[in-house]
Amino acid sequence: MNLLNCHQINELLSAYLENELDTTTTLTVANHLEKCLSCEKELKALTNVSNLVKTVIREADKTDLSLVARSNKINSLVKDEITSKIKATENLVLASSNDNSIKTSQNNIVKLNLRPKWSALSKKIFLSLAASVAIICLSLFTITYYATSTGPLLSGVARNHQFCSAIEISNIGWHKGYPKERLLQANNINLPKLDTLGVHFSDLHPCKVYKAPFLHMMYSKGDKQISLYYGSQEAVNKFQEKFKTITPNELYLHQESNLQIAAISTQKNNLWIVAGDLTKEEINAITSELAINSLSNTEESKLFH
Amino acid sequence: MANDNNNLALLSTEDQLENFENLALIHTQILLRTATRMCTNSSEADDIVQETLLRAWKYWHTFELGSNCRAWLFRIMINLIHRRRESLSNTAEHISVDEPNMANVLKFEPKLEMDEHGALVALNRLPTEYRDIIFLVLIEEFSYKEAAIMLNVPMGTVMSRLHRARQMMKKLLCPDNEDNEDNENIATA
Ligand SMILES: [Zn+2]
Ligand SMILES: [Zn+2]
Repeated sequence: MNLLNCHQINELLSAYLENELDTTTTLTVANHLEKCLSCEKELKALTNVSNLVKTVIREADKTDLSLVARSNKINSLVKDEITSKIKATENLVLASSNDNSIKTSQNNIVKLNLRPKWSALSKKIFLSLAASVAIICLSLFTITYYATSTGPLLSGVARNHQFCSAIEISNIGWHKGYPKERLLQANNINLPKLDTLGVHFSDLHPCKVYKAPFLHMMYSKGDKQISLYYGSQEAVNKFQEKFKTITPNELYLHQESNLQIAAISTQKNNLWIVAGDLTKEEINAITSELAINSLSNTEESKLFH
Repeated sequence: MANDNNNLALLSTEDQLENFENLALIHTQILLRTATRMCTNSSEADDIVQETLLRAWKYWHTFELGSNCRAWLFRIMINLIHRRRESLSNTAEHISVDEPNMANVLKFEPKLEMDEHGALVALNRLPTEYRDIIFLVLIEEFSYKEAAIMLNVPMGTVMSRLHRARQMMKKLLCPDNEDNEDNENIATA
């Protein structure tokens, strides 16, 4: 165990951080860390990542004020349901037997006749439910506000946003609170109509792709999710700085975890990225549709050169 | 209630209920917090948590008093979430966006400097199983063993998955770092 190399030590660093290693292994790692700068550096980086993740999620939690109201509501629904289930069982037993036999039974393991405490409690719940309806009505604005503005943090829809920063935007608020028309107008574009290709628009929002501002338009085709990212001059400049070798209208294929294919095509002073689980043919059809709809292609070759 | 007996099945229904309220229902908010992170939307999360608690009540007589109730509840919930995800996996993911009201519009002018939210962006880019492990171990601070039982995977998988999740996060958080060149190629590849 003493002869672990840096790579092997590296694999243990997470468990070392969580104190999940046995004593011998912990000592081995600790000894190695004392002597090895690069592993120590890696441990520090992993610690920083953990701390950052913890901070950022806990901060986000603090802003989600809907949790208390929602969990109170769930608890009263659950209690109510349980109470009525027990009542139903109780009534069933009472109906099928003689009242006294249950009350006097000494050997009844599960005492189905509830003592007044819980019955009173269930009544209280029932009454308080009415009261909470009023409270819920009063706080409806608040709840709606959070439901529409914060959205779920880090939700499952993230899969559609491999490129962009959409979900955390929804978390801080404006992803779901900004009119589509105004976004299109501000970027001076018409929403690409791809219905002839069987591709239908579902939503759009502003976001960032590799730190450059984009408009993200979401489409679907059957159960496929398709993303079109539109970047205006500002995005083009940022991309130009970073990726000098992009050739206009050349198809870029990329395979990465959940993101299957991305294609980049350029038009005059703007940049389109097509992403999703698409075939080459589908990408070609979409990009040529984009080319037709755009005003001019003549100057596009100047971009990225 | 004071009870040396750790067998809930021997208690009266009333005492079981009292126990359930004191031991299980106090975790609703924590369950909901994690469910909201793991589900597609908050109403789905609400449903999952409610289902979790009703299921927990159904099996409450099997819960061992003195053991970790939060972990027990999470196990039920993660199981339900996994089942829900499976049934949704063939359905198109759809993001429904309500028409914004003007109050929101005025409140949320787009500001494009999102770098301080890099960590959340990075988290969103992680595949689901890596995000789940971060929520369970880093945030909820379950042990590897508890997480392994919840996710129904070996402990070694929890360890390597968490390590991989951390490395991916590191890579996503510092894309300009010189030893992360392959990450930069994402956009050009
Ligand atoms: Zn080393
Ligand atoms: Zn997006």
